[in-house]
Amino acid sequence: MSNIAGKAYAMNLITPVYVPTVWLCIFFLPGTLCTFTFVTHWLSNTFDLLPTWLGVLALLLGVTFIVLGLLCWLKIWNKSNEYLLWSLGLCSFVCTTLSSHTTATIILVFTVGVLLIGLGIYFLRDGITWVNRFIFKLAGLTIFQKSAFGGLLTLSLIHYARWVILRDKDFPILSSTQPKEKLKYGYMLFFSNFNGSWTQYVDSFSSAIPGGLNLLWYKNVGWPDAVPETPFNNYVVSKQIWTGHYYNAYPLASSNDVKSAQKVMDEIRGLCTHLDDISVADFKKAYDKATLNLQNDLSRMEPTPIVSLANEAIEKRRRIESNIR
Amino acid sequence: MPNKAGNLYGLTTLCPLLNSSVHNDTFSPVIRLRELLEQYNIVADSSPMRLVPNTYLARFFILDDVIFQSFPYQEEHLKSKYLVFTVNFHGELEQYLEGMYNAIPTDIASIWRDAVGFNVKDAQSFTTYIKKCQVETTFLFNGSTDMSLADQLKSLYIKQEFSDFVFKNQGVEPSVLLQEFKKFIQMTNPTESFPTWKAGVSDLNDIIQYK
Repeated sequence: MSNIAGKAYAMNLITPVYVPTVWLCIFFLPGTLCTFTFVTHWLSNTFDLLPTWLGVLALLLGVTFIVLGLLCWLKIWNKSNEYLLWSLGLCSFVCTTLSSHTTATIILVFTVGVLLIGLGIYFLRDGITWVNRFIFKLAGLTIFQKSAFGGLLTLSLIHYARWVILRDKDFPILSSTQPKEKLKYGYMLFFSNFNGSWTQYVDSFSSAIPGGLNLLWYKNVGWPDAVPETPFNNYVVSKQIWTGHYYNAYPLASSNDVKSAQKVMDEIRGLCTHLDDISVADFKKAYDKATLNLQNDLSRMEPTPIVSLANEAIEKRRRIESNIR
Repeated sequence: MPNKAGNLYGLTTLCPLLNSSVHNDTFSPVIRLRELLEQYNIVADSSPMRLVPNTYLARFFILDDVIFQSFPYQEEHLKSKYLVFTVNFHGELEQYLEGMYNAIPTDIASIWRDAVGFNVKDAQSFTTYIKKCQVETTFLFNGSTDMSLADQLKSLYIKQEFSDFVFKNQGVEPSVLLQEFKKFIQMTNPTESFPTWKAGVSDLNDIIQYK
């Protein structure tokens, strides 16, 4: 296992995206209510109060749904979702108290009901990953980057970072014999490449962009909020997967070194122009100006100091092996 | 396009692994793969990815399962294990994968040997295979420069050498400084590709590539 390559650290997090409760109710509660209203009125064929037998049936259905929801919640029966069942149960109870409406209203109500249920099934089948995707779309806009993610841009220790949101249908299928994944939750994968130790990085994130983090991990299961740090750190530890092999093209350089190097190169190229015919005084002036501009960018890069016991163990083993040879 | 940010491409792949070996191994494909990846860690600067053009950072790990969050959330499991291969590189996907196969065909065959549906014979079939395993990146953040790897390595080389130059030439006469600077430019050749830093090397005694 190796999360470290030179000065870079590789972090991999996998976090389940919440299956909504409130969101489910928003779609399914009115949806099922509308549909039940239509069905019960159509069955009774009158627009007066429900006949007694239908009222009793609705009451029985309501009790059944509530009990099944309870079984789901207690994990005794896991074939459905407790919130959906409770919504259905509640609707059944409401149906027992229905009174007359016009046909047009009933049809309108039915249409709205079917639409809402359809939307509920479409949006909520894999959690609310669509909400998270939308947040990342916003994160890509400059105006939101400055307000919510400004700190991310100032966290100069990051080389690159990425978020990938997956639903079960997104897992690649390479063969007809490979089993298809069937997952209740959506999953968010986070990959980061940064300098320094794990603690420095996690603490920096928590301090610099707590609001941004709460948005990016919106409704992720068990998300404790970016502040305070201890539960946040525990969350990251429990969701991290160790890297098998990590490669870094410039193990001696930090992210800031790479950015500084570009500035140094630009200044050097500027100094090179007219180098053959420049006067000593003019060169000295240009040189002083360049070094002044680069005063935060000039430093010697060296192999990283030991940042972990595991890294130290590898170095020790290498020394032993080289002595044996 | 979330897979790209400027010239940076963030490739994310999940390659399903066979549940049991078809090569008469006495251990599972996952164990073999973990041991193989560990070999790259033990021997210094031995990663095959150092030979793949324009690779900034790359990682391999095995996704055994999803993580259970505990009660009251539902427990669920993956039906396959996946080799997760992600890479940040400069340029376009097809050219990169072609370059990768041409640079390290043996290592590719070894790493993906026990992957489902891996029947790669050439660069084109490797590209096709990786594209099948690719999942779309939702959000890619570039905290570095947007230069090619060659430009980055050349700049790092210049930065290192110029830092030494400034340190050694503090307080010298301006005429001497100009002469020394001309020698410095002649030695480092800022407008040419070489000398530069080698990719993936952490030993300062062996880091400069002259041609």
